Amino acid sequence: MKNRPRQRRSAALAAMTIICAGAWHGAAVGDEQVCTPYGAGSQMSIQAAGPVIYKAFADWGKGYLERNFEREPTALTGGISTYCGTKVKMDLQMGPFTTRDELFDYSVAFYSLTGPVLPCGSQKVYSWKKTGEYSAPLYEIPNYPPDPEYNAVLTTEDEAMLPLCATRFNGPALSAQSIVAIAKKRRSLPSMIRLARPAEGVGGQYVKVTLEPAAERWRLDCRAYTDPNGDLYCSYTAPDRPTVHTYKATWAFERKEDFSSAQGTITVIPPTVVVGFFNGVWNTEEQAGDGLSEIRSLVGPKYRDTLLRYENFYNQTGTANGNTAAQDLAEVFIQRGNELDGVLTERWEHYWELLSGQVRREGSLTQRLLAGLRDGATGLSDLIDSLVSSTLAGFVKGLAQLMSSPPTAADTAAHLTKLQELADEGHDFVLIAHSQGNLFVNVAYDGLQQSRPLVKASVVHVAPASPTVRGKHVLADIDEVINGLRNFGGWTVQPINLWLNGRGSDLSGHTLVGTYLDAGRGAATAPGTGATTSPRAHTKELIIDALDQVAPASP
Amino acid sequence: MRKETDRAASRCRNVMRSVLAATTLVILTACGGGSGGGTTSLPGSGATSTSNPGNGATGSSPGGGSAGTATSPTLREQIAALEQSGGYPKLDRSGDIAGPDANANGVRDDIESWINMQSLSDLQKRALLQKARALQNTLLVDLNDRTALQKAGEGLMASTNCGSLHFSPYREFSNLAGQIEAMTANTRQRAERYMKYNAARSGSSTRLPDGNTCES
Repeated sequence: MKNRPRQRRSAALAAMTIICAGAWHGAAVGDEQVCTPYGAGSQMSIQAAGPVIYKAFADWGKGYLERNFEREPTALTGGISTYCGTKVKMDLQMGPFTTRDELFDYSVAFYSLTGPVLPCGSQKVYSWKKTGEYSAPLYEIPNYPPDPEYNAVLTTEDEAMLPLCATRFNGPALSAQSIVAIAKKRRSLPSMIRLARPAEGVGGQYVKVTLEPAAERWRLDCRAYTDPNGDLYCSYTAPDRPTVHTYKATWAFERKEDFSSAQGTITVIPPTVVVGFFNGVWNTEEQAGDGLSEIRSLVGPKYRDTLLRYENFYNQTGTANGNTAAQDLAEVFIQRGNELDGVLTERWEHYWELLSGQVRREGSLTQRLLAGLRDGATGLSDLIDSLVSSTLAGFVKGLAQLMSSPPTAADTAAHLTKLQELADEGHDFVLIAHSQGNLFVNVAYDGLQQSRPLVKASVVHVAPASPTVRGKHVLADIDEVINGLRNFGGWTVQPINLWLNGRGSDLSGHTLVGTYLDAGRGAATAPGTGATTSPRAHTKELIIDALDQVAPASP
Repeated sequence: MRKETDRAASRCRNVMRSVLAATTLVILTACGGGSGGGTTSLPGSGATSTSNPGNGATGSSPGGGSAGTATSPTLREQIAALEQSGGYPKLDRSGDIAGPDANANGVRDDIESWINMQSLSDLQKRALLQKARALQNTLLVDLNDRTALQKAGEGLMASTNCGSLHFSPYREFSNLAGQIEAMTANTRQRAERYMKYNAARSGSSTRLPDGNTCES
């Protein structure tokens, strides 16, 4: 520093402030840039609040020279004074940091200036290297022409015309997620701790991690530096019993000082199995959730000592094939609704009851309407029956289309991502699919097995509208939708393995709740034999069997 | 009672006959193109006009009620009278998707009236109101806002879970919730909007929560 030529210029703060135009390095949405005309003796006041980074730089036209100031200054006593062509912040107290060099005091983040400062009136070449480490200034002119990424050329003749700018932007900050871990399991945590600016992660930074209670520190194993995405890879070994651990991550630049810190918790829960439901044909999301709730009421909140978490994986018929089948069903309702003086055309509640198989259920809106009418009830009832048959035909058509053009990995990508997230948390799975949901569950299950081979998962197929299965299935003899696929479409479907006594109000014999979870009817597992079970009990048996596979009894 | 049962059984047989016939036609239509993507014909229009023997009688017959006489009220008049008497819910059928909500509680007024008329406990009615509010939200949520969509889906699940806490067996709640769903999307405009909501939710995953998710 002693040999460095310098021309100290201390003067009053330049009064006028303008907003700089043009592109500048490192800008991001929300950043603020303030400039002042640069002249001999100019100073710039940096005024901002909050935990931010100030980046002051001169836009020299041919390049730029930037200075980074980490954290908000606690005091600004001397403003910015200038050397020829560059500006050096003097007497700026940066809180806990130690002043080392006039030029490098605050270049602690990503760039350190390493170029020489030449006398005014001559050409100057500045270079700096991309590093977080302190670099001693060079006292020789680097290679010329300069590397455009790391060098700037400026000529001091234009000095008076150059703007001096400061940028206030949201600086890198640590974030720490609170996560859930399963007892007795080791969990990889690739992105639990992250150092990032709003637009990008910041790699190569040292992050110190502590865990409370300290005696359990060994359970959380983290790398020392963030990866290029700003993530700090950790893994956690959970204890045998549920508990909560608190961890603290601290960004310690050059291992010396705290720049940013964040805290999170690791909640250790008992072993949990996710019961995932893949809904059937024409289910709305509400109906799919209702089906899942019915399954929960059937199985309960836990199995042995294992907690069950119920998750709905919703798919809609026809989304993959342009929804033509869905439009067809609505069109039929509109056309037929015009009959009988058009009484149904503005009564779409019956359309939804048709789709959910509720029109013949006692107490349904449709039944209440029919029951309340005298003359004309028969005609309306016949019309509704006709619509039922059209709807069932629509079900079959929709499934046939889906089987012709089955869901692909892309169609189930979001579901697979969720399954993988849950698998990474340490969950195992029982996946239950109904009707068309079987086409979706097969793809999702295969993807899960391929990407997370150690995860335990079993599948229960209810009324499978799929040529292949991944687990046990139940298919009723009265299932008119699957029978329609088999008998009239020639599709390969699974064999019937449940024979029911009579039909319920679910005319399709296909709905999850109305048929396969019906407790009111007897059922046999072989043709021509007496009823030994009910559809509900039989379906529960399959689910329990699947749970046994992923959550076996402790020895 | 016996007659009613026989009539229902007969009706059921007729329906199944119609289903098989309609299914045959549909499968032929659906499979003819091979890929399944190019089918544009309406299965119901073709199938029902050729397969349902009852159609001729129900479609344009005066017995259907479309040409009522001076002495017997038309079907439309009968339904209006039924609604007036409280035998069937009198629903808002305006072109407005949201419909009236005078007290701004997120539940359409006609559906709120229907819920309040049920012989249920206060907690049960509140659970149904929560379900109605969650369903109404599906008609109003911004379909381009994925966060809002997920929140709407979670609202449905929370209300389902709330219902499971206050109804036993759960099916009692489920049946009422199903009717609220049907009443919520009870016009063509609302039905179309509800279909769009469900299409937008395809591919989503939502947890069925535990604990008390009832709104206060």
